Amino acid sequence: MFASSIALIFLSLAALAGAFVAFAWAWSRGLLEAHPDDAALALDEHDLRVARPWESAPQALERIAAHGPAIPPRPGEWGGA
Amino acid sequence: MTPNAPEERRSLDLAGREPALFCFVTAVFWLLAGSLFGDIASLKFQFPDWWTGVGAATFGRMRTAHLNAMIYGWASLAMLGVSIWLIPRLVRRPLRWPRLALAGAFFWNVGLLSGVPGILAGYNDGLEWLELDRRIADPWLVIGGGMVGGALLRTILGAKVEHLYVSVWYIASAFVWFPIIFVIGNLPIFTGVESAAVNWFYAHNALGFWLSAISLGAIYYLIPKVLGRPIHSYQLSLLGFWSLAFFYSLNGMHHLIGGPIPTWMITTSIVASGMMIIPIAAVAVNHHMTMAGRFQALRYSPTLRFVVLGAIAYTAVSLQGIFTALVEVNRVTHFTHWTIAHSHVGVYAFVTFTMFGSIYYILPRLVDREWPSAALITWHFWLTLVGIVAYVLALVVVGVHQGMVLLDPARTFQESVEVTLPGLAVRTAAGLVLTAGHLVFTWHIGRMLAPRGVRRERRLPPWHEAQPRVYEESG
Repeated sequence: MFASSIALIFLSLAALAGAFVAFAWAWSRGLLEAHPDDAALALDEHDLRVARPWESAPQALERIAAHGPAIPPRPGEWGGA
Repeated sequence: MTPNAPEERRSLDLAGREPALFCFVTAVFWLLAGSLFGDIASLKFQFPDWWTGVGAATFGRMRTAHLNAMIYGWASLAMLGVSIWLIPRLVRRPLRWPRLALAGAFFWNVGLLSGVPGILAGYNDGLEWLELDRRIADPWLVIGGGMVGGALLRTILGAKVEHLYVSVWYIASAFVWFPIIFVIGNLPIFTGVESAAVNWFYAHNALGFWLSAISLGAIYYLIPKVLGRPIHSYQLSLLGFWSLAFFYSLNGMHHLIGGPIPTWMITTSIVASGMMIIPIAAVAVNHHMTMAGRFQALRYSPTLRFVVLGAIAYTAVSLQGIFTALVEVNRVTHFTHWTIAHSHVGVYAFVTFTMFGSIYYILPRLVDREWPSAALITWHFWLTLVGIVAYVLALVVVGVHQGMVLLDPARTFQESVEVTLPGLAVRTAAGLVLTAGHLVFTWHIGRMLAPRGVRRERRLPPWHEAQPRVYEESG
């Protein structure tokens, strides 16, 4: 049975080693450190200012308070974002 | 937060326009081809004597052609297109070597155009998910995928951002991981038990590190983008990614529970499958909390409708996978239609819905035109949703029933087949509904890419609010 296991043992270890190497590399480069803006990396100021018609008035005002005057959306989802 | 303006974003989109469009158009071709193969295969359960004189039309070849057209044709090409469009936006660099990416997508199609007809002609490697001929088809896929991956990884290496968004992690890892497992899975050096083990090592990891990784990367981008709201927790998103990277590779052996393979493989895979609760919970909580308080947006955004359903399906199929890996559950569900239902929750409800949503978002930005018809989007959505729900429910119910009958020594094998017939009829009907949805989708894309007469971009889509509310701060 061990002879039948060798390939899978090797593949599993290689997979785990690859993940560990990538993790260590990311750690050493500081890519895993928390930054305040990380959650918004996919967004820019324009995305955050475009008015969303589904938002309630308090939600829209919250957006304005945080990011500035609302930009009316152009066709598309949403406003060319 | 990236400070890039809409103009910069537009230039990033246009740099990869040709390869992304080529990927999407050819993906839709394979979607239709795969649907046709699937419908023919399913109809053979109702009409077993239909079209039996032609070898290419037999169930074994049709079903295999369906799987390969859907996995490597539709899903993979759509994911290549999404990756080509998404990575430049996230690293704020235009796509490097776009012609290499275009040529890579072309070679990928060459592999499919030789491999899928080859399957219909009877050339099949005989391993699940690895049926494409390793001599005439697979080299094209490896070369093509490598060229697209090379262009993407080169783009990432020139990133203008200090931190990588979680979508970049998912997509970059997929392009490193997939060629390795695909080549290893296709090596003709494994025999017997070892061959089965390596086969499922590949097949399960192709789902987790290829299909799931790029789909999750797209979901993590599109939900915040449409909502205009950051993801709930970046740390949670990294936990989800790294726990997937560490635990997923060991899962595949749970497909062989009950088989004549070393016990340690089964035990390890069951434990690793249970550990998957960590990435699943991390992703599910993160997506749900990002959407919290904004679910009304689903009424407005077709992208969000498809993508959020895809995200829900990811949680569902992952939990179903954990339960199916348990020996007591597997004893009932193994060798039944439950497995077919499970794979369709994964590849269709999760991956395909995510790709539909992604294409609805990306295509208008590539061709500078809005979708011509909201009605067609609505038809597409409901046909595919109703189709997949009926498909999965029917096969889950008859799958469990089938398993119970198979385990009952007082009942014959013939009975276990007969109890599945109602569910299989529903499956065929659902498959035809899904195909109708795909035809609507294809027609709509055709109208968008080749508009006739009127300048369609001037027509506002119905989900666009013609008179937007403008809020002003008081005081």
